[in-house]
Amino acid sequence: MPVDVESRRWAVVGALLVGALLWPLTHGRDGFPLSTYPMFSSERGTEAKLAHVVARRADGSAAPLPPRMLGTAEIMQAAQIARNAAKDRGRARDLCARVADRIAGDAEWSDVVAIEVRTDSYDAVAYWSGAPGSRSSTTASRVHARCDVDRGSGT
Amino acid sequence: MIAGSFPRAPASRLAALRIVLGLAAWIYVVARLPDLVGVARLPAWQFKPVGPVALLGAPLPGWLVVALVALAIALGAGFVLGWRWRITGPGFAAVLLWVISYRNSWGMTFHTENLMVLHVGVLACARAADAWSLDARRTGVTVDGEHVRYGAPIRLLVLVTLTTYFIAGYSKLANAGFGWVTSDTLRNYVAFDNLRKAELGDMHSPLGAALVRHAWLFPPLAGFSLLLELGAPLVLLHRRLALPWCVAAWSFHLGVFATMWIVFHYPLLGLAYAPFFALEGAVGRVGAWAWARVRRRG
Repeated sequence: MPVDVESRRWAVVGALLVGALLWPLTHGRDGFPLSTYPMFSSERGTEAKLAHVVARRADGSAAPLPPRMLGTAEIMQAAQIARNAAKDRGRARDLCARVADRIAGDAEWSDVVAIEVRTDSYDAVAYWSGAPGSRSSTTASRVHARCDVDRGSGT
Repeated sequence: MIAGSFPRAPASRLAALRIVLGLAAWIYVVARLPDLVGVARLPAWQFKPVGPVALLGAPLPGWLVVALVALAIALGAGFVLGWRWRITGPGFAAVLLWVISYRNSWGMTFHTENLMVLHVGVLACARAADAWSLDARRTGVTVDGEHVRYGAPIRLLVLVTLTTYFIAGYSKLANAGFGWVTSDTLRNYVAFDNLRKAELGDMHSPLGAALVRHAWLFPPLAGFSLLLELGAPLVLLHRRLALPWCVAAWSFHLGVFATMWIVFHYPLLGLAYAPFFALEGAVGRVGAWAWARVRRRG
């Protein structure tokens, strides 16, 4: 194939490829693998609203649960799972029950008596500006589902 | 881009990229195996298909998810080795796109994987197994000299890398304007992302958490990021711009890792920037060394 024809063919491929890559910018919807790369692109204030799943001990103290307890190794996927569950009470109950089941069989979490799917609000900058002990202070909270951890009679 | 502007390159340069980028994608699939097949256990209500998976109305049965990941691993091996390239090249690109899209179809799109999938896709469209491959060994055909058919896809790989950075910069400008640089937005993102990690039971960056107290640091960092992203296409103007831009882009990802504990493995390992450089010498030496060791043991 003569060089100029080959170059022209690749130029067409390149133009189509760049056009496809830029296409999401025309409608603003993120996708995969064609993306608007929206992460960290919007303006952001200091308020941080976070849906998450929390383990509650008998003394009332709370502890964050690692992503594996939500069925994933990925922190971002865990965040999204909690966010989706927080939008719907039925889903929140479903997630709560599944996490409680998982916790019940895990000796590392034997002191946990209940699970909560909740949304907490924080001031993100104040969170890191105060003493470490003050970090967990929230500005607002909402519990979407709460379920007891049932370990049965064998444990 | 105009016809005739594509550089010529030896077949071994494109082959080196096939081996390096293909191997990286293959290792990624193997390393992510638990996640890629683990989504089969997630409840159907979490299914939010993206990319080609949007063709599905419901999740696939678990056995099919596992089978497709296994197929990706098998085709990926063929891709790296350049075995039956006409099948394994496009086959791996298509199945990789599918399995990664499928994993991203459960509520969270991982933007760390786009470039890897796109690069494999470009390689699959090219004659990337004309050298250093089982196909070339079988046919005994060697390609001498430099040709546009090897240089052009390499230029496209570069173009894809630069375009993705430009899009990221454009999105910041479109969504937040120059306020993204002049306001506290970047500091607030660092504070929020580390808070999210801490409250979701994961590791956070102590450095990022400490820097949040020094607001003045962030506007210059934000300006550097935006300049790097929006200026990416300028790298095409002169080859000497490639190295400083790649170093700056790599430093940017290092900074993201240091302050937010986010690992963009593809750029951090230099893979995103591999097409900017002639790798055939280094890959050839590593390959010769590895082959000599294999033969000695054999």
